[in-house]
Amino acid sequence: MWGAGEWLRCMACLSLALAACSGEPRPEEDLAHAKSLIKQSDTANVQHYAAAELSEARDKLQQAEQADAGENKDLARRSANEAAADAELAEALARSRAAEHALEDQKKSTEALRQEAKQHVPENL
Amino acid sequence: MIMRAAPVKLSLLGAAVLTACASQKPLDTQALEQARTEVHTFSANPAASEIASHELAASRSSLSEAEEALRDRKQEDLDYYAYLAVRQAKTGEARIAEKQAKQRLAQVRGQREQVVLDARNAELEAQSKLAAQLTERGMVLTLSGVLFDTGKATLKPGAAPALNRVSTYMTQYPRTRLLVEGYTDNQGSRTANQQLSELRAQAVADALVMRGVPRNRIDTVGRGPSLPVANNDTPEGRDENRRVEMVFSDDLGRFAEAAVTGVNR
Repeated sequence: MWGAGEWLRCMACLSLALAACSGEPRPEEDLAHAKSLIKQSDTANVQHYAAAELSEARDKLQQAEQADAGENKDLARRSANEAAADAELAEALARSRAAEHALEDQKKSTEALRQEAKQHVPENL
Repeated sequence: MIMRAAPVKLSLLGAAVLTACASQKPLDTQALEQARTEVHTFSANPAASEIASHELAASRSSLSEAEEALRDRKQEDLDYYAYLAVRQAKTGEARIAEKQAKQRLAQVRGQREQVVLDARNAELEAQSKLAAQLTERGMVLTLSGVLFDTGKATLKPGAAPALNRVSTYMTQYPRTRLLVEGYTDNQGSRTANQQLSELRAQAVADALVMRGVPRNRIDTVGRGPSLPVANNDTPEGRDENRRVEMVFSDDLGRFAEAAVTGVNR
């Protein structure tokens, strides 16, 4: 006959198996993923070029954590994934905006140099 | 309370009512429409599959999940997948924009290098034209004939670097004097050429005065077609003969004897 310990263990196993089977949302992984993406994208560059998107990501993550604490696992999973998408967007936008900024700077300085060279060489008498 | 009276029947009725309600209540498709537009625009970008294939696949898959949610009438799923689709498409577009900006940056850097190179070459060319030669007459700097048109005494802009350097030199050595000699090719009459050579020397002197060299430190002389430095039978030779030579005194204002006689070279 099984003792209390065996029964408990069996129940635990069973409930885990059931949870897995029923596809009940388990937001832990999604939350961890979102957190790590936000951490990665929390750089000076992103803060400078995509502050709005980054703060959107942070807000979503907070919502996800609240939903998780309130046992609304489905909302937690969705919000976490939305936060992750926001963080990726923030990072990509920051990169593209920084690149465009560098391009504009280079264009301006090249044009200035060109003007200078033009004025320098053919001086009219 | 009612449920207790006729549980099965009423719960069936309830379900029917709920379903009816659900089918009547219109879904909010605003997010979906935005997702459609965004994913469509992104997909239409020819660089998408090459540069942002991951985002392209992800946003298309999210959009089809959102469309499925529309068919299944699941508002939450619809909003969720539409949100993801929009973000993924925008992320992909940002990746393309970044790549393209970097490519343009490389191009502009190349152009900038070319500008620097051109400026350096122009300066080198200008300097090579004003390589002064040390002769028996002293230091002589020749403004080549290409700086004047045939029959004209007007200096071309290309002479500017040489004249600037001469005026700087004259400022640095305030007792140095300058003898400006005009020469022509042998085309046309001797009188006309004599006059032209004087005008050319004068034009150079004027340009130097304009740059701040005192007129009383400059002498001018026209030597016509005499003393050619190149063959007058070819256009290139005539270009070289059409010239102005600037002969410098020493820094005490004394000219070499050969400079004064103007014949001995």
